[in-house]
Amino acid sequence: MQTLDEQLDAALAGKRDLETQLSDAKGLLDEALKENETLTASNKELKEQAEHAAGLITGLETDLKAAQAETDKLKADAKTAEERAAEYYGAANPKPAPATPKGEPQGKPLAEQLAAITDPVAQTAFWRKLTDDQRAELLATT
Amino acid sequence: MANTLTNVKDIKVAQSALAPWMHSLLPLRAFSSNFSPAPADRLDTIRVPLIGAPSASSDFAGDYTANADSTVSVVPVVLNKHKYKTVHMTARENIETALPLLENLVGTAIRQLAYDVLQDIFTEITAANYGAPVVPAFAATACDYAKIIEIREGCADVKMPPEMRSLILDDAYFSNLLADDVVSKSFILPLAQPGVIEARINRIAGFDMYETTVLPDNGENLVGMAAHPSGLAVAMRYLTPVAKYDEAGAVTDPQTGLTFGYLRHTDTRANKVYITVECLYGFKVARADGIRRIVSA
Repeated sequence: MQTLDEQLDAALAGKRDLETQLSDAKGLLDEALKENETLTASNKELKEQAEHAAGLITGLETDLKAAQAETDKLKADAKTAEERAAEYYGAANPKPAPATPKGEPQGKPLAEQLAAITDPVAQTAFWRKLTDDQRAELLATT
Repeated sequence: MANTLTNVKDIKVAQSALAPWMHSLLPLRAFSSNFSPAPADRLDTIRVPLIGAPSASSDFAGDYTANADSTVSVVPVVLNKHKYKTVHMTARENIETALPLLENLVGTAIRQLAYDVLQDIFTEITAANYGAPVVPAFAATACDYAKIIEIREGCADVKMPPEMRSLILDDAYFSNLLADDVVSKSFILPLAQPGVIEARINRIAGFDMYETTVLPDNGENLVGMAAHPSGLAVAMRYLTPVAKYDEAGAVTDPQTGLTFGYLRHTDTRANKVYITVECLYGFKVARADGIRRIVSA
């Protein structure tokens, strides 16, 4: 059986162990608290960065939508090479106004030109110059 | 100025008829002519310049107007001939008929009118006007290249200018000439090819060639002629109608002046539409040695 001194020594040793453990635990707690503060600060910073990024993304999305809308509009307005060629040279464009060999515009319709002729020689000459299409056009318009 | 047609359908029909009109009257190129769509009345006189028939040149003696030969080189021709041909169809047919059919109808009429005009002009080719035949009478089967050369010699006998000579031959004589080896087997393609393929000879032995089926016999066995433009003067004008027609106008070829009149009129009682083609013309003998007759045996 231990004596009172022995028991006291053991108790004191236990107390010291516990104090040591407490001190270690306090150190750990302090570290944890510090780390928590650091993490909280980091978290706050990250949150701020995330919010900023979200703002940027929203702005970019708006820009993208605007760009896409403009692209669609340009695409709608744009013509294919075939359409452009047809516009310049072909059927899509109204026929160029008829011109004389001198390049002067033939203002009056064929029927009016024919009706204005009062000389048989000129009438024959005029008729002979007409193409089959022009003759058909004349016959169709009268 | 002459009337012009105003209805496009009539213009088309008339212009289509102009080609057969000109083609059928091609032999008139052998004569001196004054053709025009200018309006004229029957019995008007037209001055026809004689081509290639001037008198001899003069030695200058102080006056350029001396020995001027206008009386010789111009022949007054009276427009005393007026032929016409009329075709008709009912108003319903006129509406329902396709335009080419009407063109064919008028084309046939104008061709017949041209033949009749030509035949009438050929009645002037008589012994009384142009003397003895250029060569003794011969049959169609004897018409060959050698005979054409003989005719050429006959023209030289009367000093017919070698330029602008024409030879108008009856169809049978022309056909026999086509069979001559000189034509059908000629190595000269422009002579042989149209002859064999198209039965056409454009020129031979210095003559412009014309084939015709309408030469009148004239009671003298006429089968052709060697002609220079100075031999006969022909005039043609447009006879302006006095009455009012649905459509009336002159139809003319700008180059030659060959002209016919075109009339469309309606008989309301018979419900018919008439188209008349007509020709006002005249002709007159010019130089007797300008045409040498060819007669059959």
